[in-house]
Amino acid sequence: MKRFILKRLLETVIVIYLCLTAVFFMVRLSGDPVLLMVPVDASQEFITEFRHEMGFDDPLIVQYGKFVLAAVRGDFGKSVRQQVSASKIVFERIPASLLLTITSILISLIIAIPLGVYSAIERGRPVDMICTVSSVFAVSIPNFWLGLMLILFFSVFLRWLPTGGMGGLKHLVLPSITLGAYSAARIMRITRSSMIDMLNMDYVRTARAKGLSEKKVIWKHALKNAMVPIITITGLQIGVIFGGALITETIFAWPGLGRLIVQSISFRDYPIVQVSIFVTAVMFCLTNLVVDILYAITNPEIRYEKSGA
Amino acid sequence: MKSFFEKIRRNCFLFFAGTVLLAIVFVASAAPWISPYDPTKADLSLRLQPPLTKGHFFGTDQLGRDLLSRVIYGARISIFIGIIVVLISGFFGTLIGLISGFYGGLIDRIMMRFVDVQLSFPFIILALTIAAVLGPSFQNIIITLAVSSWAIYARLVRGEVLGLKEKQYIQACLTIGLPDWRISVMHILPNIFQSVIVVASLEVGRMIIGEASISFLGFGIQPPTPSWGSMLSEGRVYMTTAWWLTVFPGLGIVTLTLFINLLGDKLRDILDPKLRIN
Repeated sequence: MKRFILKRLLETVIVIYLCLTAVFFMVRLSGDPVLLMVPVDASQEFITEFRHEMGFDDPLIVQYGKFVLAAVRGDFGKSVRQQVSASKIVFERIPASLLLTITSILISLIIAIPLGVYSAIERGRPVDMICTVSSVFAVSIPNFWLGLMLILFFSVFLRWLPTGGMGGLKHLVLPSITLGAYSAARIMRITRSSMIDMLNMDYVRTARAKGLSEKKVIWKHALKNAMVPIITITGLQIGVIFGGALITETIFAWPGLGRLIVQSISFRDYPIVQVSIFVTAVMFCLTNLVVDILYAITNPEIRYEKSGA
Repeated sequence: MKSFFEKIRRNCFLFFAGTVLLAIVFVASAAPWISPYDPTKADLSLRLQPPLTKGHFFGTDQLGRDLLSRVIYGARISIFIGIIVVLISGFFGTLIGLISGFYGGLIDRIMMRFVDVQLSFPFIILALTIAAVLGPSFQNIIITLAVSSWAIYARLVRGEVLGLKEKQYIQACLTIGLPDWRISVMHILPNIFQSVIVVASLEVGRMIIGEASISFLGFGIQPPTPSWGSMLSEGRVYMTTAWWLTVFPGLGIVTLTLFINLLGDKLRDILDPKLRIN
């Protein structure tokens, strides 16, 4: 077990380092990062000066070395627009992002698991059909359109909820539903199929035969064992939610990382874009690490296989 | 007997979803002959007309362009991009997965690190950044989406190849000294093709939503070209007064991706029962 965790930890560090490299090269994809960052109507002198100031006139390998060394110390350079450290601006946005991400994941789990279990019990009956059909719908609706329609209905038409911004609980409702709907559908379907597998198992029959209440059999015995795929898909959905936040935060004017990325791209403020993307990738890698470890703990088979090798 | 009816019902459904999709593809490809107006022709005297206005079934937009025609032309762009991107990323992803799984060793380790890195960035964030850096154009959006989505195929194919390599008939091929490309193309590929098709069919829907998202944020297809995503972002400004500008293009995206996903799901059930859980 310890060996497995260490191995995964090392892998995560390598992947994070490679992500940093990817972020370095990403802004250089178009050939000249300077033209990407200066205003469209910048003069030639300004461009030359900017190039020198940002160190873009060094050889690529020197630039890369400087970038990595600075990044290790948490320094990604200054924001092009505001003369403040880019990582500071990004870190100020993280709490808002986390609040939205965690609420969305919780909402999707609260919707998905009971519905998935219920669907599995009622397999093939109308309830199950309705759940299955609505989950296919939820997967096919792009989140920006869902967000717009929720605003149209709840804010413009009914005037119940604010159209955007961050404030009380009311501000959290529409963005977290928008962000969580897709994941809820995916988690629900996995819960359903995993529960169906479990309900056919011998130990469930034994539990019933020894006279346990149906409630206990389903929620305690079967669901506990059905959790492994549910944990895996939830981990994967966190990545989806980080991505979806980009659009949801833009629509609802939510002051998180996603909106910062979109705004900074529009303002050509690429140091900020670099940090934000890197931070997102790191958060995602760490979540994957935690999920893998949880997975190893909940699933003895995996543990045996990996640490025994 | 019951399973027989089950099968019919299932295939009926497949038939239905397929027919709807074919109809959408037909309408989209016949857009120049079917759509009532030129999708980019503005008529400022008829701006923001509500749906069911005479001659404009879906109404008109802020420049007086016919919304129905724009939605039909939008389907053309979405379908084209969805299919082209999946062909490109599916091809390269499968190729990389094949090489990685077949040869193993250092190549495999390097390739899989690339896959890990690509999958560490949420799809839409990666795509948006690449799109912004490359600059908005039709060609760049295709490159962007392909670069952001090949890893799924690579990982899938590599896993399947690793499993297949242990099979006796592949071992036999190796023993009699068939060239590698021949084993891969003639003996391994046909066995993994089904899984690739299943994933690819679901990816078409994801790519369509991806294109719409990037265009919605303003870094994809640029106005006045009628892409569903950019239509939504233009219409968003008028949401309080002209709901139809955000409702109809969105319904277009939902209908198209819904039927693609339904078809993909059914294909998965029929072709590849193994994949059902994941």
